[in-house]
Amino acid sequence: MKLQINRREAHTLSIVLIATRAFMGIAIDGTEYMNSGWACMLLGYVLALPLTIAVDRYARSGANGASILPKIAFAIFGIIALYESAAVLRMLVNTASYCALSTLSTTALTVFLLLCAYYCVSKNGRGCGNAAKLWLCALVPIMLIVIVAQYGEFNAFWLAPAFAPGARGIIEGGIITAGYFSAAAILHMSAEGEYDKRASCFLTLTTGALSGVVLCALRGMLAPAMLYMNNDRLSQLDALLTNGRSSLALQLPLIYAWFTGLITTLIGYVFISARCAVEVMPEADGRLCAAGAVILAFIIAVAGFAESEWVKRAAKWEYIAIALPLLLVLSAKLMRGGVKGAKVS
Amino acid sequence: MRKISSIIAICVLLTLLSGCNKADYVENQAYAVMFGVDGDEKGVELTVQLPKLTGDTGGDKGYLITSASGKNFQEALESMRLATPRELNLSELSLIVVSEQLATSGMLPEVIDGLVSNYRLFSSSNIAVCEGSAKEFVSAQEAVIGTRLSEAILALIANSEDLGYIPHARLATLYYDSVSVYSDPMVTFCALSDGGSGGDVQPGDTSPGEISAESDNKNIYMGAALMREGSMTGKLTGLEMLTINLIKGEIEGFSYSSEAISAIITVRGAPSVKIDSSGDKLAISIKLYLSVLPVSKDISTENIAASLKRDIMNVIEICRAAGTEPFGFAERAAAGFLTMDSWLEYDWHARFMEAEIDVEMDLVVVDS
Repeated sequence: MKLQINRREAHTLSIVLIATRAFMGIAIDGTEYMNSGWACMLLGYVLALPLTIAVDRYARSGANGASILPKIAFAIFGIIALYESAAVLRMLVNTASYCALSTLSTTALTVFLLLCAYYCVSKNGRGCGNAAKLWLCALVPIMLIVIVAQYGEFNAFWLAPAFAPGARGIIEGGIITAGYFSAAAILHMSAEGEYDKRASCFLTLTTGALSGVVLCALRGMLAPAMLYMNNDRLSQLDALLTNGRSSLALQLPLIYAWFTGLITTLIGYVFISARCAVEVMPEADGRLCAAGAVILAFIIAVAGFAESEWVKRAAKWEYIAIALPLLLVLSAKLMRGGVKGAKVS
Repeated sequence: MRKISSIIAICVLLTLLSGCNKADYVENQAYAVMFGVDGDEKGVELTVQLPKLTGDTGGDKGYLITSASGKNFQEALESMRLATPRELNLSELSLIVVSEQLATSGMLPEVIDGLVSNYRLFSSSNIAVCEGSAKEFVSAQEAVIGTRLSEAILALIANSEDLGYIPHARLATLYYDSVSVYSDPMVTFCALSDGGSGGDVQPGDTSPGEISAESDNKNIYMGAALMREGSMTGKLTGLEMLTINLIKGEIEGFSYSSEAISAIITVRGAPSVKIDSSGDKLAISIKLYLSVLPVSKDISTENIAASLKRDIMNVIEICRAAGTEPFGFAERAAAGFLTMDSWLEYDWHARFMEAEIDVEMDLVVVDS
């Protein structure tokens, strides 16, 4: 099977992927950014913007050619996506433990989730894109219900101080978020078809990042900045999904939105890693690459390398790890005069 | 063939779902309704009320009281699990009661940490501090109206909240406010009623144990325990709590009486709170918008305003003496700071203790 995704599907999948991953990284794992996650996301958007503009230009330029440089870049992107698959998988297990009110078997749960991801990726880009589209369609009414029903519980004063972690903290959070946002650039780089300005990487980033900003601000208004709180995921998930004030009736839609968002993100990362493998080895079968990605993600997650502390450490380097190879590929193309005028559909 | 293999694959995948969790049968669970915590430096004692689920849920016959102790909260909880005839499940907990002795001892943060990190606890449980023994308080709680204790407790607390005599205290909010850097939390105060001494004390201006009333319900929830960094530092009567709810804009109306004044007061609009932290001394101005329906004759709005202002300043002084700021001013003040470091450096609590506070009333007399 030839693993491919068109620009529209890449656009939808990327929006879900970057918004959910950035929210997970900043609002759940990034307790040090307190209730200023929205500011980190805004800075992340600004930092990732040049990359997406460059990728849009790359997309207009056509095929990669036989150069070795894009292959190296895609190999790096594939490894990053693989690690991110394991990170999201671990968060899914944490969420399931929270919902089930007990610790769960990581192995049993990850096997099931990865089989779901494999099944979806094996349906190619259309399967993944449509999964994301379905989630987006469900998310909008769910969030509207949650916002309206919890209107009285939001406290805008809890967003203060506006830049709680200070300049250094906001910059660090911005770089981390830019790393998550850059995943959209990878997916768009490997997307098939002509450049489509209604599904451009710039539009993807803007939609995904602004959704993340709004979600982070809403989360910040639900609970005060807790400087001395336990940093474990269980406490953070409790603050997000229950927080002692949310109506019991709202927990189901909230958990549904969060859980399915994470599953779609997992599917997205598994797809990216398999797609990158295909970019590196064009003759490889897509299903085989997806199976390989799923098995490796399982090993990373079960071996304990995707625990929150590891993930947070790795996140600091993700933006550079994506931006540098990307810029090298684009520079090489520019030097060869490869980037040409847009062919807009 | 393709359909058959898909069905087989789905069936195989469904078996993996059982790996998510083992089945929890209701009959195998002991759902705690009320949870009491007593303790001192020697150890912690836990008490739970569990429905027997025998079909007869009326009165005390339908509930089982179990106690267990240990050197600390975790050990006591482990002993409780061993002593409970089924798997102890705290997910349906309606109320956690902590003894005043434990709340003031400095051991409460450890208990709160233990409670919130418990997988089987719903963090929206109500929480209260009781005068005397939590074990006695939990054992005495009965469903006086209705048959289900959990519903009775929730209705009882909701009624006191509506009257404004207790704070909106949940385990999660106590925990979040304790580990955050804004205003301090409050917890409902409760006691076993001894019938009261009567006298000329205003209703609500006594300890909950001294309330002047007779009822089959001995468990009275009234007033608040003032908390700072997870420990109790003072307490408020029901009327003082009502005054705080008035400042916070969390009540719609109440019956007011003081000396020769008797009136029904309704809140006309959200209170206006302005905080100026730019000067050397913190300045807080509060303006309340109220409608007054006089019950006693010949009372002037000036008299009511002066009386209410006196009550408000009195409550602020009580909170200052306890070293707490439970009014929600800190959140508003923090908006004037850019970073958390600058906010912490400002030392809110120290500033609040010396703040200049101005209270204004916008009263309108109504005839119905």
